[in-house]
Parts: sequence; structure tokens; C-alpha cells
Amino acid sequence: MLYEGAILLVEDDPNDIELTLNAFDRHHLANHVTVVRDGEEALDYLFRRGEYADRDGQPNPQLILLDLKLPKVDGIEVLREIREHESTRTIPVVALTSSRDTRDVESAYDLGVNSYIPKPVEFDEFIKAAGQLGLYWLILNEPPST
Amino acid sequence: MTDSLFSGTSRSAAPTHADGDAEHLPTASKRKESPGGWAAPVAAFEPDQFGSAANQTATNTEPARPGTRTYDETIQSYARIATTCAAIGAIIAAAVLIVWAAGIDSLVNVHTQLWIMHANTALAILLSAIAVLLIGNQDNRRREPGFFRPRTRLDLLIGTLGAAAATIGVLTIFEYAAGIKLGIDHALASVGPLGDENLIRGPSTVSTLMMTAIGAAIALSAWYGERIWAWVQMIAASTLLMSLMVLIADVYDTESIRNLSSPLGATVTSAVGFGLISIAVLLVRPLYGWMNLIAGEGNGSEATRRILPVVLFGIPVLGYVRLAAQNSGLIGTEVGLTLFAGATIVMTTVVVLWSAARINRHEDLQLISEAERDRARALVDGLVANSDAVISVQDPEGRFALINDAFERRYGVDREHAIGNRSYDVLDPERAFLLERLRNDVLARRNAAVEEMPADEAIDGKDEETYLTQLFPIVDDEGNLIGSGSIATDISERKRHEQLLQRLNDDLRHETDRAHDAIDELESFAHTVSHDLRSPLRAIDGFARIVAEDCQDVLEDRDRRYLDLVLQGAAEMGSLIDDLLEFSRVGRTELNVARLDMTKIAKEVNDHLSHERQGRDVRVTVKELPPAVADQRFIAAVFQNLLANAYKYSRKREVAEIEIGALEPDDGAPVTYYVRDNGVGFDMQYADKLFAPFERLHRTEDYDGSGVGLATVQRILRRHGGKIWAESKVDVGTTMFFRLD
Repeated sequence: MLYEGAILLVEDDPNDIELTLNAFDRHHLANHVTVVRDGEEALDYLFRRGEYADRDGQPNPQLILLDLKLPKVDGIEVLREIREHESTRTIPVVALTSSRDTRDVESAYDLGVNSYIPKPVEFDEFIKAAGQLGLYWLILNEPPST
Repeated sequence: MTDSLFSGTSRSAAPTHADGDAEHLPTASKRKESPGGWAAPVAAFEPDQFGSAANQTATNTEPARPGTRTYDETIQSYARIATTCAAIGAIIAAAVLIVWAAGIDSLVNVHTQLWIMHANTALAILLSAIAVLLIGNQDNRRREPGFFRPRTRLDLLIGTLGAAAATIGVLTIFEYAAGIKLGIDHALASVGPLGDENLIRGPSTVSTLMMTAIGAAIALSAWYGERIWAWVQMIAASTLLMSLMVLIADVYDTESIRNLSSPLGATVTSAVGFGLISIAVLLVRPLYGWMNLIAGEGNGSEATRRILPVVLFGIPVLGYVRLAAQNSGLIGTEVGLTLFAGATIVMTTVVVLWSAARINRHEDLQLISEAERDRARALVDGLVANSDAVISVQDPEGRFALINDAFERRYGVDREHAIGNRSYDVLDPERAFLLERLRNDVLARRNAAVEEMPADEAIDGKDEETYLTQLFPIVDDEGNLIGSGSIATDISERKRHEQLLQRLNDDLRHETDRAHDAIDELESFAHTVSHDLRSPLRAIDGFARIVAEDCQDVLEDRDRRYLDLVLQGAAEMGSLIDDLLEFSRVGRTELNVARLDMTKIAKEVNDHLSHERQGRDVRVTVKELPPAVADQRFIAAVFQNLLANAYKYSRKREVAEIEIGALEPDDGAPVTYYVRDNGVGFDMQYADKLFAPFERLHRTEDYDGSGVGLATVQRILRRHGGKIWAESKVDVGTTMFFRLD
């Protein structure tokens, strides 16, 4: 069952956020997406620190869309912390790459992401990645509507 | 007596005196150096300096002995003869003493007194013999001669033994001369059963003289050491002569001449005993005193050794023959004397001539070998003198014994001034210090081979020159240190080249580093730029797309066309960025080489290009391609580019034909692969522009593309050591060939 904040989007570029949310919105998934703007905020959110200290009762996201190039705390560092902590270790992480360029893709896999989507995030790509990760609930619960 | 009178003759005497008379040099070093070995063009090499220095330092080592081994053995054999004679003498004396002590009646009586020596004589001979044996067993080590000061306990013992023998003799003489009976001559004899002193007479005058002389000689030798040996030998020769005369007299006529009271009277045994002791004394130190004349190495000694035995033994034999012939009545006295004189003349003449012949031959050989040696020495001298290397030899005390011209030039020193002086007197203090430090190091280690001294940290530094200095100890055949040598070679030029090379290397490395830095910077710049360019491009493309979709119905046709152009421009820019990224990556990515199935790769790439075939009639033929060894990803990129071009430029053909194949030469030359199309082709005069980045042969509105693709392909093939070229004809088609070497 999808809930609010089931998908965590970690992205700093406002255009990309807008485009991604637009893509999700067309499929009525936008309100399941929580957006954080940099690595530090992502970690605060995940580990309920700072302004997210009272994020009680809210479960962890079921999928993280992570841009690897972020201000403050880099996406790579965020990924490392996610993988180190017991509470977040099992959350699937999908890297957002700026191209299909093999170098970007390879380095993302090297860092231990579960899948990747080239930006801008298109819904088809998202579904494909989610499907690869066995997250069929995303598709089953909210069949894409046109 | 003075030192020089006697020891001066000892040309090859082993021991030397601290006063450093040149004649006292150890033979080996002297023989090596005294011929002026380093002489003429090189330096005034002064052997006495060198030699005396060697003596001082070599205190604890064996004195150098004459060089040739056979000669060495000869000397040792003399010493062996000496000890053998002494031993026999001792045995005879001891036997006689036993006979006396046992008082064997049948042996010692009035009749045998002519044959068996007196007990006192026997005792004196025994004491002397033991003393000589002790001398023979003494090592040859050189000792400081002391005046009335025996150097060792052994010397003291030898001296005491000799003195005891002499004392017996002196007391007996005193007894005879003074007419006083001290009873000394009966001291031993009376012990036996023949106690009757009237029947037993004392030792003969001759024996008494001999025991006194030989005993005194031995005692003196122990006190004075080597310096006295000439006298000792003189005395021994006298006693030997006396013994011989007694024996000759005995052989010639036992009845009339030999009488114990006559001047030549003595028992045969005592004559034999003293004779043996005399020979032993003469031979026990063959290199000392004038015995060196006989035992020495020179031609004169050799002649002496040949002639002397004949004179010593031949003449008495002739005399005996003459006497026997006369006694038998065969010839008269006059005839006998004449024959004797003639025979003596003939015998000595023959021996002298024979020995002269031998010596002449020796000298001839010697002259030849000397000439050879001179020649060899001249060669070495020439080498040293003319060498550019700075060469010097120092004695163990550090005094220069040799310097060559290069040394003079380099240090600005005068040979006259340098020879015989030490480094500190010759060189400036800094250099002298460094040289001496190194020299001491080398000498301390003695046989340590060759010490290398980089001159720039050693004796260099004053001028711009660099010398490589080798220092090494010089030892003689016996292993005695006789000096140290130094050879310094000018390596300034080499050093300068090395430094230049080093500097160039550094520069090059610096440049390379800079180039690498620049490339890295460029790469990361290209990467960053392409990523940063993408961000606004995504916005343009993404929002334009949304607008196009959302406002599909609202937009005018013209506006929609403009929006499409925006999207198209964004797409082109995207692919341009991709191409640029790929182009820059080809240059830096490591090749991951493997054996590749080229046919399979070509087919796979073609399958991926299915969108190019949509709505067109394209006949693609992929022939069997030989395998290649290359990087799979890059080779796929090559086919991808070439095939994409083939599709693109054949677009306007009704039936496009594309063929992928390979030409395999028979001679084993590399395989040439090709991609052929029947497209628009191009004018071959522009072929050289084909592979330059951003160069295009067609208008963009006709055929899209960045112009980077073929440049990338060429870059890939060059990295594989291969190449690409094209053949084309306008409106007929193009064939792209490539090769991997």
C-alpha cells in the first residue's frame, strides 16, 4: 500500500524536481513523493534529525530516488550512510544519472545502487526500474492512467 | 767492530736496523724497487725512504726473503744441514760421555785415548751443539739488537750454553799455562773406574782452543745478534780448519805427525765433533755475515759454492794420493811434489773454468730477462706518465713516493717538492684531509680491494671538476703492506652530461606532469561541462515537451512548428554533447583487449540500429569476418558509427545496400574490414577532411550529425595501432576501410 512519503526524491535542481513531479503527477503519484533538496536534508529526513526530528509514526520511504551530485553532503556519502544504518539498509536506491553515459551508470552501480534512471525522470523509466526491483505494488496499486 | 763493516755486506740480509741504512732493506722490497722501477719519466722514486718506512711498519711481519722459491729452499736446506750436523755432533758427544761415565774399560784406556775424546771436550761439544740447535729452531724474526742485553730467554739460554763451553776451555788453558792442577780435566773422568789420573791425560791443546773459541762465538752471537755473525763465522771457519787439519794429519800419518802433544794433536772424535759444530755454526744463519757470500744469490756466491768444495776436499785428497805413492816407493819426493802441484793446478783451473762458463750462461739469461724487465718497466712508466689520470703512490707513512705529470698539473705541485713529503705538506689542508681519511680507511682494511671515492665529495670541489678516485693498498708477494696507490680520473665531462641529462629529465617529467594535469583538467572540464550543459537542456526539452503536450490543441500550426524546432534543437545538442563526451573518453580510457568475434559484434550493432530501417528498403549483408584482438566496446562503437553513416547517407536510395566484409591478404598482413553503402558518396578531394572533428561534407539540413563520429572512430583505431580510410564516388557510394594492427 502506498503512502505519503513512500518515494523519497533527493534532488537539488528545481527544474528536474519540477519535471519529475510533473511526470509523477500525470500518473497521480505526486503526493506519494517527498522531496529533499540536498544530502544533509536527506539524512536528516531518513534518520529523523533536525527539522525532521518529529517525523514520528511515519515509516521510512520504500524507494529512494537519489541524484548523485548534490550540494553539502554528496549523494555518494548519503548512499554510504544509508547502507551503513540498520534502519535504512534494505531501502532500494535508484540513482538519477545525467546521461546514459556508461561512465555515469557504472560509477552508480559501483556505489551500490539498485538501479538507475537517466534524467529527466520519465514515468516509463521509473516503472521499469521499479519493476526490476520487484516493487510491483507501485504499478499494481496505481495503474498508470493517461 | 762497526755495524757497517759486517752487516753492510749482507745484501739480502733479512733483519734490518732501525737506523735505516739502505743496505739493510728487506730483499724483496729492495729488489722490487731499487732498479728505479718508477723512475725515469715518472718520479724520483727513492727506495730507501720507502724501504725504511716499510721496515718500520712491518715490525711484526716476517722479514722479506729472496724472491725465488728455489732460492728460498736452498737457504732452508742450509739451515737443515746445520741442525743435522749439530744433532750428529750432539749424539757423538753424548755417546762419548756415556762411555766415559760408564767407564767401559775396553774402550777408554791408554790406547784408545788417541781415538776417543776427553770427557770435558765431549761436554763442551754437547753444550755447543745444543746451543746451535736452539739457534736453528729460533724463528728468523728480526729483533732489535741490544748491547749485552739478550732479547729473549732463549737467547739467554744459548748464551749461557756457549759461555759454559768456553769456560771449560778457558779453565783448562789456565790450568795448563799456570801448571796448576785444578782437577777440572779429571772432574768427569775420575768418576769412572779409570780413576787413575796418571793414566788419563787432559784434553789436547787443540781441543781446548777449539772449545773455547766455538763456545765464545756462540755466546757472543746470542748477545750481539746479527751484527756479530761475521766474527762468529770467522771463528767457526777457524775451528773447522783446525778440525780438518787434525783429520788430514791423521789420514796422512798416524804415527809420526799425530801426537797428542803435537800442535796438531787431538783425537779423531773431537776433530769430527768440532768440525760438525763449526759447519753447523757456519750454516745456521746463511744469510748473515760473510756466509752470505757463499749462500747468497749473486754470481760470485754461486762461483764460491762451486769452487770451495773442490779446494777444501780435492787438495787434501791429492795430497793423500801423493803421499801414498811416495810411501809405496813408486815415486820420489821431488816427482811427488811436482805431480801434486800439477794436479792441483789442473783441478782448480778446471773447476774455475767450469764455474765461469756456468756463470756466463747465467748472466746471459739474466741480461735477457733484465732487458725484458726494462722494456716492461718502460711500458708501465710510459703509461703512468702519459695517463690523464692523476696517479700517486704513497708509502705506508703517507709520504709521496710517486706522482705523475697529471698529478702535478692538477694540484699545482712540484714533483721535487712532493716526493718524500706527506699530503699535508703538499696539498691544501682540505684535500689532504679527505685524501688521508680515505687512505687510512683503505690501509686499515689492508686487503680491501679498491675503494671508490667520488671526487666531488672528496678531493674535488675547488674547481668545477669532478674526479673519481680509487685508492688501494699495495702489498708485496709476502702480503706486506708497502704503500698505497691512488688513481683519480676526470669524470667532469661525464658528470656534466649526467647533470644535464638529469635536468632535461626533470624538465621532461615536469612537462609531462603538466601535460597530464592539463589533460586531466580538460577531461574533468569536458565531463563537468557536458553534465552542466545537460541540466538546462533537460529544462528546455522537458518543459517544451510538456507545453507541446498540454497546449496541443491551443497552439497555432506555426507555433507548434517552432516548438518542434526547440525540441529538435535540444535533441541535437544532446547528441552533440554525447558525441563530445565519447570523443574525449576514447583518448583516456584504458583498452580492455580481448579476442573478438567481429561477425557477431557487427550483427549485434546492426540489430540495434533497427530504427534506421523503419520505412525503408535496406538490404544489409554481413559477411563472415575474421576475429580480431581489440577492445569490444570500442570496436562496437566503430561499427555503430560506420553503420549509422551508411544508413544515413543511403537514405535517399530506393533500395539501400549495405555490406560489411573483410579482405584477408594471403601474405599474412593485417585483415582489412570494410563497410560499404550505395549512398550519396563524396568527392574524394575532400577525403582528408573526413576524419577531422566537426568537419562535415554535407549540409546539416540534408544529413544531420555532429561531425565528431568519424573523428572518434579514427581515434579508436589509432589507439589500437590501426587506421581508417575511405573510398567514395559521388552518387555511387562509399566504402569505409579499417584495419587493426
